[in-house]
Amino acid sequence: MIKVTRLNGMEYYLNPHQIESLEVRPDTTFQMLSGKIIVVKETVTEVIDRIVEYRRRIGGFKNEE
Amino acid sequence: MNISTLIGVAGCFGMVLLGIISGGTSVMTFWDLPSILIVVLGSYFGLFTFSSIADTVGIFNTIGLTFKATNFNEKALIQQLMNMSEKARREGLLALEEMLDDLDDEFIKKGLRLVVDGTDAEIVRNLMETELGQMQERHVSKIKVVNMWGTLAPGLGMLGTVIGLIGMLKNLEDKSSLGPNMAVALITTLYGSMVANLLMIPWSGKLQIMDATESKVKEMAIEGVLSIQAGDNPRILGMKLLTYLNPLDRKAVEAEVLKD
Repeated sequence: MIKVTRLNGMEYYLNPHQIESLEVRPDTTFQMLSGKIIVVKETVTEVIDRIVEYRRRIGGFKNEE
Repeated sequence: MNISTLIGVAGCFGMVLLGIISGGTSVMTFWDLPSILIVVLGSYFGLFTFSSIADTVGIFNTIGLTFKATNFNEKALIQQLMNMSEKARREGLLALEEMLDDLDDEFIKKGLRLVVDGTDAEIVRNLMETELGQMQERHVSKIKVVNMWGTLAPGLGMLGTVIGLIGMLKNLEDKSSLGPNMAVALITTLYGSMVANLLMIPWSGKLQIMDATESKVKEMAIEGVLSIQAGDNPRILGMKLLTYLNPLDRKAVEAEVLKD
């Protein structure tokens, strides 16, 4: 799970495997596979760094199915 | 001032009076205080049985609304929502916060406040739709009372006529008074039908149309707020909201709103 911050300052953890796309409009906006839209305070680069960091931590590519 | 209601009520009574006068009867023939008591007040008190005291006393405010000019100014609403949408796309959702104080529409304000707080779209929609639903229910309960008055009045008119006829039949010996008494007896039926057809039924129809219009504007607001949250392009938002207007208005607003 990666940590993000909602616009109202709430911490929020989301599952990066469920992200469909990221948009800058100009807030960083996640479009999730479920159709849910989540807007966060972090910049896109921060988010991507966290995803990479998370993937590094869990290692195995077997989770990529 | 809502001119159409005024024309309607004045025109209805005017035509009835004109018909009476041109028929050669004096208008005073149709004036009878006891009948007014039975029909107008009698059916009004029936409303206390039907509904709550607050709604029954408040019926005059409800009826008064039909004489007020209602302009929800959809054009300004579309323009306002598009401006917000542009700002949100330029500077982010949080930038909307400073615009909230300039809004006079409580409904949109509430919705956008939720959006700025980062509430889920599902929850925002839910809250706004619940509020819209509650508004409609309040309107329906008030319209019901007006409808009821229109239903009770002719019934009370019948009742008054029966009362008059009974009084007349008691004194059948006096043949000369038969005609006049019969006439007075029928006045209540006339009043009952007047209260229903000239006033209550048209008023309740007007109120229903007003409710529909207000609901539509609120739906536009919900659509707009959610569109801003989803980060839609302002033009798309404008087009979305324009579909709520009828084709004639749409043309006029379109030229203004989507000019760039």
